[in-house]
Amino acid sequence: MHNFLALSTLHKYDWWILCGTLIFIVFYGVYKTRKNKNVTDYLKGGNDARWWTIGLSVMATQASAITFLSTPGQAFHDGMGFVQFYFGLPIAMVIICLVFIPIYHKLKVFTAYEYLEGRFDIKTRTLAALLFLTQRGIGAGITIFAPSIILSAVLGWNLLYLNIIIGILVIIYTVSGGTKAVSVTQKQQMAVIFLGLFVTFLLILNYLPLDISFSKALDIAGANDKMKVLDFSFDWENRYTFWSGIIGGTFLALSYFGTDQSQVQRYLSGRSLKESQMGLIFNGLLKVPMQFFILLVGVMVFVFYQFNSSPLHFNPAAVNDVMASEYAEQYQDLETEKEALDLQLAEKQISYAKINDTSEEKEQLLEEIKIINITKDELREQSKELIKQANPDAETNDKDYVFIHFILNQLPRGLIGLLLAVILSAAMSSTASELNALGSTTTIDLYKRNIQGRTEKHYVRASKWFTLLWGVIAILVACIANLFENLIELVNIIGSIFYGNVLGIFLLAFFVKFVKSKAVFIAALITQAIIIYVWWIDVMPYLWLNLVGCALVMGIAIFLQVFIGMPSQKKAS
Amino acid sequence: MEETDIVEKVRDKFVWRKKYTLVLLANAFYIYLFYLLTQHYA
Repeated sequence: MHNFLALSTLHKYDWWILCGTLIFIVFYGVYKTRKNKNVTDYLKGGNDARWWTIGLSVMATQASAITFLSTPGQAFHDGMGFVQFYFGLPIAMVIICLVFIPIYHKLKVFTAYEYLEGRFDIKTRTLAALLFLTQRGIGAGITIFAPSIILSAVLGWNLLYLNIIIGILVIIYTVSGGTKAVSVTQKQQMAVIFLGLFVTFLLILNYLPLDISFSKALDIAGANDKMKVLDFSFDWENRYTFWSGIIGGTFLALSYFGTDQSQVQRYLSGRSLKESQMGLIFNGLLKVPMQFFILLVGVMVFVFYQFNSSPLHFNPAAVNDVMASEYAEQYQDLETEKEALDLQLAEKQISYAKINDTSEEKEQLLEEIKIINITKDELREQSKELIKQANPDAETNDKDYVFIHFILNQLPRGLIGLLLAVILSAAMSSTASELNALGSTTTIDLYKRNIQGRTEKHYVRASKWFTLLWGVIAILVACIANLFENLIELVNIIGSIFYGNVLGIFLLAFFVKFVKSKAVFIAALITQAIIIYVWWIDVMPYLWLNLVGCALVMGIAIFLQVFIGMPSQKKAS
Repeated sequence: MEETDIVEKVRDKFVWRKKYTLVLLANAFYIYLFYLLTQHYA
């Protein structure tokens, strides 16, 4: 029996902490927002959010469950390099504070797309709103599905029920309390998330052998190439380099925080312009260290497994597939070989840690450790091949399962419940912002724009119904998501396909006064077709589509306006 | 048009605040620390 299945049934303390935390958050959200009366209360949280609420809400929206499951696993396998992905974020925060927020605040808009009608026309506004609804509608489903599939695999919970439970918990307080419920619950959720991560980090350090201090743990990680944070190469194939982070990351963050309603709605709830700006500044200051810390937790898990036996493959469903096949014996042989290497590795690591000087003996040991780790990696690759042979459809990438395996097998009772609450809180906080934004955009940009002259109460009721509808759609997407391969990556790709275009439309609106509505609308359609084609022929990593899409729509619109002289539709009509 | 006026007013009067400089400096500082870390463990 594989040890990761041994804890598939949680202890009652874990259940109490898990259920208690989640139920408290849901009821707190409903209770604190029971007095919402009008559209401003419901969609902008009454415009009374302080900067720390906005900052935490923005961070909680971006940090989904997969952030806490995947990121440590990413560091476990590939080291700290992923943090470069966030280098552009602080730059984007400054640009948004300088340009986007003052405009949104002065125009008193409810959604980012509302502004596009005044600047261009209703077609452009509706196009941008529909692009958002499409990608975010699928995204909300995946935000629920991603942790569900992992937790169901390791805990044996029913995937369908888990999707429905997470979805319903979020729907209860998001429909009931709107934007304010989302932000007040996100404060609690971030508190749970930080508490869980700090306690886990300290426990990992405590679990290391007595001779291994934090500094020595970093030495061990560094000796195995896990501390290579920066990569200045211009390798087009490498997804995370300093350049892709600082250039691609700036454009991605500009699109996401500046034009995606799930984020825009967070800072539109600010008490004043300054509070909204401070909220984003807070995010700009903390995001990079926060991601660094989550990656460091993953690196410490790697160090922990230098002294303790780790599984050959972390995904239990994939291991079950191979163990039920004709390749079971070969897989067990690989496992036996790896366990022997684990013992050797632990011995060598302890000897290495005891040597303080830079003697030849230390160099020799380091070389031996590297060889053992490389051999282990080769065994892991062989195990993946066996899994593929046993089940060609099996997911062999086990990065998402590394951290949850550690949590379930190494943390004490009670703390497992807290960490599961961290993961589910993160899923709920992101989903809540998404449903809230989907409901608002549908109400303001489609419903209210076309059905005018009704009472405030009517529009609040409509918002609640639309939020509920999107909640149901998200649950349905989560339930069918299992039918698609690599859907999580697909959602990121869909985002990158549309984001650049939408950002370009906004930049044209802000900065290029002479470009009129018809040129922008045609340029947006042409750009979208080109970007889909570029993605289809697969000539560049998808993160760069954000930059290319933005540049294309701006270039084409300016060209059409200057050389073809397209009139504004409003003026023409 | 009112909205165009507001956008122009905002655009013509960008208000640079000290906190923006602080964020950019902090980002540069983080990158410098990561550079030192990468060099140290190289």
